[in-house]
Amino acid sequence: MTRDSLVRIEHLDIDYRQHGVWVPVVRDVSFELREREMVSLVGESGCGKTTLALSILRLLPERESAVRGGRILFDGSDVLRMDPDGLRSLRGGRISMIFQDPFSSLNPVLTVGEQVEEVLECHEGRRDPARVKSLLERVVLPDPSRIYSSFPHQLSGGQRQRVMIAMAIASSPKLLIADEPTTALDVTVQKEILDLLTRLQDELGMSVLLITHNLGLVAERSHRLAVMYSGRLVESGETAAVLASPRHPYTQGLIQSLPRIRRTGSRLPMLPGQPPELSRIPSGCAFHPRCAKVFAPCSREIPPLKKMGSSPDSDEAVACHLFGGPAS
Amino acid sequence: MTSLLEAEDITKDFHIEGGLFRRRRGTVRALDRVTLALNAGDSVGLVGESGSGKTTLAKILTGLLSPDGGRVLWEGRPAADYSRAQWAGHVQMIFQDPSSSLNPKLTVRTLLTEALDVKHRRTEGRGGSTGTLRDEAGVLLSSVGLSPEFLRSYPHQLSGGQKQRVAIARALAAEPRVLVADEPVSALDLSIQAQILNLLLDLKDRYSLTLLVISHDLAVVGYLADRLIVMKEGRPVEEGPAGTVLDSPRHDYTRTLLAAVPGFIR
Repeated sequence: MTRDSLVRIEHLDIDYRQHGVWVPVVRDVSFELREREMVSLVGESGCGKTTLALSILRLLPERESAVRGGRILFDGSDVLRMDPDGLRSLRGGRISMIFQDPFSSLNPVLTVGEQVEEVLECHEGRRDPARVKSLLERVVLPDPSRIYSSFPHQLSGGQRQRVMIAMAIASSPKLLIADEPTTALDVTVQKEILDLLTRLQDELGMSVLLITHNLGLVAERSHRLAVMYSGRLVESGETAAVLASPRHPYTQGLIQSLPRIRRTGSRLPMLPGQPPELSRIPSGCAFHPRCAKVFAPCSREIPPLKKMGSSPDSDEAVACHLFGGPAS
Repeated sequence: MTSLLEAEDITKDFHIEGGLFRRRRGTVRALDRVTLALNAGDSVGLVGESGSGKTTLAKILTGLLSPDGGRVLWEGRPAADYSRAQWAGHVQMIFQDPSSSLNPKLTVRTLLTEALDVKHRRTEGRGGSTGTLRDEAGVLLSSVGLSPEFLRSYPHQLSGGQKQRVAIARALAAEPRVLVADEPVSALDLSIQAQILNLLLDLKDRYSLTLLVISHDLAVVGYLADRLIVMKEGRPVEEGPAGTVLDSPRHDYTRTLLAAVPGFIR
């Protein structure tokens, strides 16, 4: 199934200033998000996944970060060259974002209704309580009238995240970025929120970019999966294919080291070491000191992301010297 | 046979205070007549979501909270018969977030030698000499997979996984028989979680520990524990050998938790 491209990131490089020194956070990332698809960006803390997502909205801290190269195209226009008016229509308009902790994203002294209404007023220029209630219904909040006049602290974590989602879809965005949307929630609630996001993505015809460190519950939902390590994209492909037969030794290690609910052997296979600090990224492939399959070129050359599979529109790609083929 | 550690009919209430004079506004029953027995060498998993009472129960077993009803027994004798120092040699606990459970102002060496000193006072009646404590701290660190150079580090200089290893070493300094691990990996990076889970199993074998693992994650407890207790709203709703509970869950709530585990890691 081929869909039109909504976000196209080309060879993006981003640095952060850390204790006065510039360090690489995102390196040579090329990535495509198509219309009406849900993509997971998976990685550990510090791998650059949130930075990459924030850069689509140009929400990176201006003095502490610098885009060194590359392009970000949203719906055909270059986000990095956009004027303030263009950015305003992007942020909270054509692109919405929700975060891990809904409590800190909501105003504690305003009722839920007032906050959702404020968002609607920004987009449509008028206050409309009836539409607020229909939005609250849409995200399956029971008794919308009661929720409307509740304060955030009176709601559960799952209900707050539903309120955030209601605010996020108020502008009928083309893209919803969800940064660890369920990490703070109980497992059964996580599942409900993911069910809701999946349904809304389909009903509203939007694209969803899920940023997560959760390779199981969360990533499983998406159509495609992209894995980042130390600022680079190391593997991408259809979710089911990547989870079933990962190619990159890092992805393989992550999947194998997930505890199965039934203990099969005596010990879990595990990746040695830990992700590198940004100021001390190893030469060549950043993963090579932890890799069991390391060989000569790994410490010298950075492996490019190469397309895998025979068909030209294959989605699978991997950045590892174990795999040949033309660079994508 | 007498169990090593028992909780008998434990009830715990938390009071909700509020308003100008912090008046009592209501009461939440965190634990409602919970009974639990750990035998030496057991590996028991306590599963449930927030509010299920699992952490409250752990804190009561560790002696960090006292129950409102019921009693805790060690080898058949009530907890009140033991001093705090003695109890520290029975049960130790590690927590979800090692950043907040380690004093940021102390070096790893001080964190460990303080705990070792307490153990010496308990077992020998006096504290250990500086040399002994330093040597033992080094041994403890290597038993959790860290090199002695970390003795000079402060917690903020360590990664999350390294901090959790230090927290485990500090718990082991007391030479406990029971180790309670409350969400031991949920704050850690994905590639580090398996390392810590394996370490807990290694240490259990090496020190003949009895393990009580608490998590919301069925995969984590299923991996570490032989026996599972599923808790909901302050009560155990299902209990049994891990394989039986996971293969043929009897309670609806266990089934709901199982349904949240992704297919490919079942």
